[in-house]
Amino acid sequence: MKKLILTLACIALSGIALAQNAQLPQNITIKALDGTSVQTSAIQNDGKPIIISFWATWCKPCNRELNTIKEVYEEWQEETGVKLVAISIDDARSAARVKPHVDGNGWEYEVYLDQNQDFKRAMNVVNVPHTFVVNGKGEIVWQHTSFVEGSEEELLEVVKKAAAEE
Amino acid sequence: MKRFSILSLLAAALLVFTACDKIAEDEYVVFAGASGTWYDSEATIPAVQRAFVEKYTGVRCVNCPNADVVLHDLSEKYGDQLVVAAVHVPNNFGKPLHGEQDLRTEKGSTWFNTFFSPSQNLPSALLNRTKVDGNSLDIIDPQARFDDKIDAVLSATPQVGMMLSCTRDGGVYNAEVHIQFNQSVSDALTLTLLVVEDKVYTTQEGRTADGIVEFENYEQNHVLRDVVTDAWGIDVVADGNQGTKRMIVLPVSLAEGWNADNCHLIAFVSNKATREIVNTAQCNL
Amino acid sequence: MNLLYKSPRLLLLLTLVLGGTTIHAQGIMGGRVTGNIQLDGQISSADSIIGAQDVPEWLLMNARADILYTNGGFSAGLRFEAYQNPMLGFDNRYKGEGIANYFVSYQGEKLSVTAGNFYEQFGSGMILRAYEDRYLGIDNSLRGLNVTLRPFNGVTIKALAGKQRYFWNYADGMVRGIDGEVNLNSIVKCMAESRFRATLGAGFVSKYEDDQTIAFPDNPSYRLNLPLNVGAGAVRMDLAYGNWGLQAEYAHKGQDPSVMNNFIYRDGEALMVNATYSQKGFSANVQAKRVDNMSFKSVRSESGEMLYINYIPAITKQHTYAFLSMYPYATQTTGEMGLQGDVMYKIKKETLLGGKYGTDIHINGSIITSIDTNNIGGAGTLGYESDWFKTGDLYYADASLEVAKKLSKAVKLTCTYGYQVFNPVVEGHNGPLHHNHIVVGDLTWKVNKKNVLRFEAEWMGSDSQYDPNVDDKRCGDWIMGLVEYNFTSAWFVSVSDQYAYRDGVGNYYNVSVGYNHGATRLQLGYGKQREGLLCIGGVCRQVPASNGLTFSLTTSF
Repeated sequence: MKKLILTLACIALSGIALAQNAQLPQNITIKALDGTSVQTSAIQNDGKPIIISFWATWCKPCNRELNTIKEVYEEWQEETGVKLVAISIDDARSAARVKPHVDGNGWEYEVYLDQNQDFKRAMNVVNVPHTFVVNGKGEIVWQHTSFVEGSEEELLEVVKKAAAEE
Repeated sequence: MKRFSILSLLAAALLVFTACDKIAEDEYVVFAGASGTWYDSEATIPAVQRAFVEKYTGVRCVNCPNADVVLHDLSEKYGDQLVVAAVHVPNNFGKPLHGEQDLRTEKGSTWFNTFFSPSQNLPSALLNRTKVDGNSLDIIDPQARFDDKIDAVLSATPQVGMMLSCTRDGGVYNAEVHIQFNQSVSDALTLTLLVVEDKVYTTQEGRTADGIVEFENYEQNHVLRDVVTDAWGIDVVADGNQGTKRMIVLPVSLAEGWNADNCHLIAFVSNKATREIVNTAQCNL
Repeated sequence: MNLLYKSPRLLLLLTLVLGGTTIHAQGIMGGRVTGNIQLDGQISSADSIIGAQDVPEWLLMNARADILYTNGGFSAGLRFEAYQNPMLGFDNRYKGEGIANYFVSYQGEKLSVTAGNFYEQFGSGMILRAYEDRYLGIDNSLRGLNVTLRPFNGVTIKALAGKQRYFWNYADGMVRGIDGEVNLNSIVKCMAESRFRATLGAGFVSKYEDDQTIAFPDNPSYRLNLPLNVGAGAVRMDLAYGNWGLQAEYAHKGQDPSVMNNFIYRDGEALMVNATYSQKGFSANVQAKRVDNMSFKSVRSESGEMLYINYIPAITKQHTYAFLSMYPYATQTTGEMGLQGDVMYKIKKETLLGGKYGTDIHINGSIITSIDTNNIGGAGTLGYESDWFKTGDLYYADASLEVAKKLSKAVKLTCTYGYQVFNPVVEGHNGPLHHNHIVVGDLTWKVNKKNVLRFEAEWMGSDSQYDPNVDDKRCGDWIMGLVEYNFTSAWFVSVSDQYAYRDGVGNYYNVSVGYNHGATRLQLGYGKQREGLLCIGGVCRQVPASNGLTFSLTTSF
């Protein structure tokens, strides 16, 4: 068993060491809230940073994260030009409730549905919330799983750094 | 390329769309093939030897009506000691005329294909599936009487005595088969049960003085409707010692269109290895 | 456990993968290797009070690693899984290790092709959903070929064929399907800018399985005449006009006698309708469904949770607080009717009720009943007749009110009241209905930038009483307390206890410590886990109680 753990850890480390600055996958199909299919290549922000947050309606920490950022989103946008793209992994049970949920919470993010979880798999997301920061070149420069109040500050620091790269 | 992929997708769509079986309401349940349990029998089983004639025929076989005349006469002479089944062959001879009902059966075809080459002359008959010199099947032309062969079979003391009775239990018929070993038998035996129907009317090709004609509403008798057991029967579970008496009850279902009043059940016991028939019995439904 | 010695092929494979990353580092192949790893383990000891089984192996562990190679639109992946031995609650048939899943895939703008294992869903999944839920031990992935065409903007056509994973094997049933979807706004020019949005779709799925002998119970000399091809089709629409939305899907399934429906020949059907209205700060939705004989599996003799081709979601709210989710509702694929309503409202800032920061109100209610059935026979018949609009027995009812309010810059309070009626027949046994009142208080206190405390208190009052003959350990009245301390998002410690103080048995204490760094999460826990249905992502599965040390590591790279 030890060997197994060791081996897996080994792959993990080699992966972490080598897979820095992975590009955002391009041709994965996700759905916009109006029912149109879009490819992930459509996730663009004119060379400015993007926050990609995987969430679900039933996930309390996800909702806390998106609600917390909502209060500072305008400031962040002015400061860094960042855009937040929220990817819902809700399945058929709750997917129909995503749009009301987003509107009801007053979120002004770009929201997509990833019902078949193709994007989630391609991004190696295991648990939600899982948040990525993508820089202007479309490279994933930071990621984090879990959310507690206060960690939005750390996220802002990363976004600022990514914005400054331009 | 694009057009090709769309077309192939449409083809796939058709395939998927049609791939949905619809079973009619009266066919949800089908007969599983007779099976049952063997028990010791208490019945008195007569030691009578009977002969089984399977006649291979077809509605397009112009000489076959000749055999019907012969078999009619033989039946009159031998009474219940002669048991007859008419097997309509799977090749062209057996093909229905004018879209009439098909008298061919799957298991009858299995028999034909096993015993004969596809180009076998018709009519042909087998008597207890006996073999000449224990080697090749003795194929009889039933257009001529074969009393001597029948007498040879009937004169022997029966190895196994058989008794068959038909009962009706609600919508299901039961065939109750009793057998008795009159002498010790070491070979494995099987029991085959079949349904035949008399007075089935179809068009039949035949020959008269005017040449080849079609007889309308020709009376077909002994028509093999189905082998209820496996085509080669079910195992007879018995020790085979002299005096052993065994019995089994097998359920039988009639298909739509078969007239129960004209149907008979035939049971025969045969040698599992050589398929030679040891004894047979018949009952009316 | 000398896994690597036992399976040299695995060693070779890992070497190849590592070799691959090295090559990438040298920039020869130009691709990229990413992946994720998950390790879950438990060290259990028996406990007769909570009913945990004595486990002969001192350590139970599930491990899994996904490795994905991507190069432009091309990708290839494989998944290694090991269950030595499977954790409590996972089917023991998972025991073993090896490459469970692999694929190669090309994702282009107009064409996507995947060969190997794939996941797919037609519409909401009522006729086809190949999916996985790693926490529930469900992997319905199909191994075969999946092709998606997007010939024009707004048109998607999917075609697939494959066999479903069944633990370490693949089921005999062959699944084939085709689905088309059209977004009218994309293809009809005059609708491009319309406020009216419409997407229409239709799909067909067919399953082929070899014949087998299923005896007719009324007369063993007869057997069932089984359809070898079972077809199912569905049509759906997704309409929106301004703030209004309407989604509907209807599915119909041909004759499919199976263990799940007791081998009846009745067709299956399901209808799901969802209507929404939403604007900023307010949303409402109503959902209705009727499901009749819609269990659709790739193997007709399979009971249990495996080998579902389709997915009929529960429409009840997915609760996350412990007592609210103690009696989760699982969809009865053989027949149910349900209605659900949900309202969210944000009381504005600087109003009487809204206070300085505003108040969020969330109301939800649902009611699920069986369908009306008039039995006309057992196996080998049409089974029953059903009056479409008539409801049967109550299966489940649920009403909840949640009020969330920021009290100050640092303190946020969420209060929830819920009432539930639960019929144990949905879990397969008869008994009186359970009526439960639940109150939850959840307070988060951001002490300063780096330290966050969270308190949770729950109470459940129930008319159910613990009966040792039934042994449902959820019965009785309960209280629960939880304290969680977070140091930034990196560290957390939580302590909780659930205690049945009246008419029940059980005391579930738990201490957990966790560490997050980037995409890595490590969690250690010690305590007792409740027996019952575990529901994550809308699927429920029975898990037995456990007692002892648990650990979990997830990371992605």
